[in-house]
Amino acid sequence: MAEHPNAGLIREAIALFNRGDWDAYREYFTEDVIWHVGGNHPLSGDYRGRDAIFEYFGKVRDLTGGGLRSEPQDILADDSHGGVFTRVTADRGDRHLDVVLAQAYRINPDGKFTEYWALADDQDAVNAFWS
Amino acid sequence: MTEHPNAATARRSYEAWNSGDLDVIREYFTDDAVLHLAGNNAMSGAYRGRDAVMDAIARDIQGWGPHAEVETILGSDDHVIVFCQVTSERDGKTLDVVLAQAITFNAEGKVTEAWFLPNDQRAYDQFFS
Repeated sequence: MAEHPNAGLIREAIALFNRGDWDAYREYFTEDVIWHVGGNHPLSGDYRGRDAIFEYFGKVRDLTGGGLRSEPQDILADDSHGGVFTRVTADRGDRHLDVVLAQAYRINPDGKFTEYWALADDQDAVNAFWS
Repeated sequence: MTEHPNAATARRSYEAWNSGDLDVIREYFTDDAVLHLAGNNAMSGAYRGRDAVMDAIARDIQGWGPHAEVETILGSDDHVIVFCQVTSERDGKTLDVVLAQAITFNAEGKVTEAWFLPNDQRAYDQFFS
């Protein structure tokens, strides 16, 4: 079965994130996008607006030396939503992160992300990594 | 397009959730299923094993009566992602949030792990406190 266009969109966006191509990655978000990051750690919470989200990505990059990688294992999509199960790995000093993150996206008719949820299967490991 | 069998399972489990049909929900989980409930509230935590999962679900339904309105269910052979609006009124408090739920399935079409994240964690925590 051919991949849904929104699945392709998410695949491209994750590749840009991994390459650190922020200018191209920015184009995948609406200006008023909302980003929900679960857990109990310093980066948890809701980020409102593209600028706030890219500030968050900047913190992630700085804390991990730009080495955080997302390897999608399964991408699901319909005309207005996307879902990804992705393996996320990163190092921060002597801490190592290796978790599966489920990501849920709302996508508008122009193919831009309007809302996002990040769900970690091992929230304790994610909390410990960022704390 | 026909719904993926795992998406159909998730849809039926939400219907059973809304009607409080715990026996139906129970059949969808493996013996060693894990349910993760996010946040800092009376329900938060990881529930391991079908009995623990069903205890948590029963406590949730009977204690808070949340109604789930499914917005979309995305399914594949191994995974499902659900977007749903969850509403309830209890003891003068109201709940109205959108939850994203991630579910992993085994080859027999049973749920091995499920976890949620609301779009407003603070409102969610206050309601389930």
